Amino acid sequence: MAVGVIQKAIFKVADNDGTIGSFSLDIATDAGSDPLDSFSAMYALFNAVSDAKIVGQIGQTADNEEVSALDTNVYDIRDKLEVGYVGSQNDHHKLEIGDLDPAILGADKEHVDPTNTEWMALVTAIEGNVVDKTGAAVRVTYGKRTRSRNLTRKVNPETT
Amino acid sequence: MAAFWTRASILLRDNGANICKCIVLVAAAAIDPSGGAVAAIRAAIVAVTKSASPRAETGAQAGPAGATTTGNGAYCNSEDKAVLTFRGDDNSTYNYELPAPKETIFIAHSDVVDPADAALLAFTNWISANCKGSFGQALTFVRGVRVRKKDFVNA
Repeated sequence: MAVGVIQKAIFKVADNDGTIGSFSLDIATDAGSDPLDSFSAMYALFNAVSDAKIVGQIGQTADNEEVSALDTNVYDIRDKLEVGYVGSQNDHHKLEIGDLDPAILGADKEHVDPTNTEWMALVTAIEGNVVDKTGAAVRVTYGKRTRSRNLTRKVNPETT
Repeated sequence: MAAFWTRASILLRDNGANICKCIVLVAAAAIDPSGGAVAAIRAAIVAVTKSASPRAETGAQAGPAGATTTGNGAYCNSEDKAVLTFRGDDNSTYNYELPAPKETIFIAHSDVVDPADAALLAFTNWISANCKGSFGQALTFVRGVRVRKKDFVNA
């Protein structure tokens, strides 16, 4: 896989009324580095040409090379695998993954088969790489099928 | 102050070209979306779907920068902008909107920036030396003008 040729830095600024604005700049990609690290010399230069101050910064790095398991499916992107996990502060999170492969579900077709190889690999990947807002590891608690609201079929009462 | 985490966004596309995004936090150092934590999660996510993942991106976040301060010049509202135009080495054009420009970077009684202003020169030279166009082009400063949001026009 390959990262794009540029990394983006977005600066959120505020003037002395507190009104928010923003501007962004791109730099040549150094894939493993935070793009914001490249802007330390820019702050004073910015301060000399603007009456606003920088109050927040975002650095973006993108990989546009496709990873694919694309295939026909009885589900689509609005059918989700809902993965619940809990952080170190007992904070609960939901990760929704669209277009799930029905093969990972158990006999009830609603909950994941806990012995499914791909499911176990996903749990390992999440518990080994995802963090909470304190930077601590998380623990996966469940996986189940869910549906986006716009897939819910409503019966029109006037036709019944 | 930098965050304890990096935000990873993984785009999925199904066979009907419908898309969704999966967003998780990963370690602050996991900047590279093509390897490490993000690639591992992306591969594991794709394996439980029948979709493709055409894009993954990371977003590092940090708080206020250095000791930047607000000023109270004539154009000190952040809705007032100086549009700084740069030309790419393939003749492409890039406009950067500088919020709340200091009045001192403009030629007196004019909406055009003073290309000889030392502060402006230092800022645009830094951009030329360090920043790139969307496809990696080198940038050269061309001109700058002041613009106002429509809200500021008094009929």
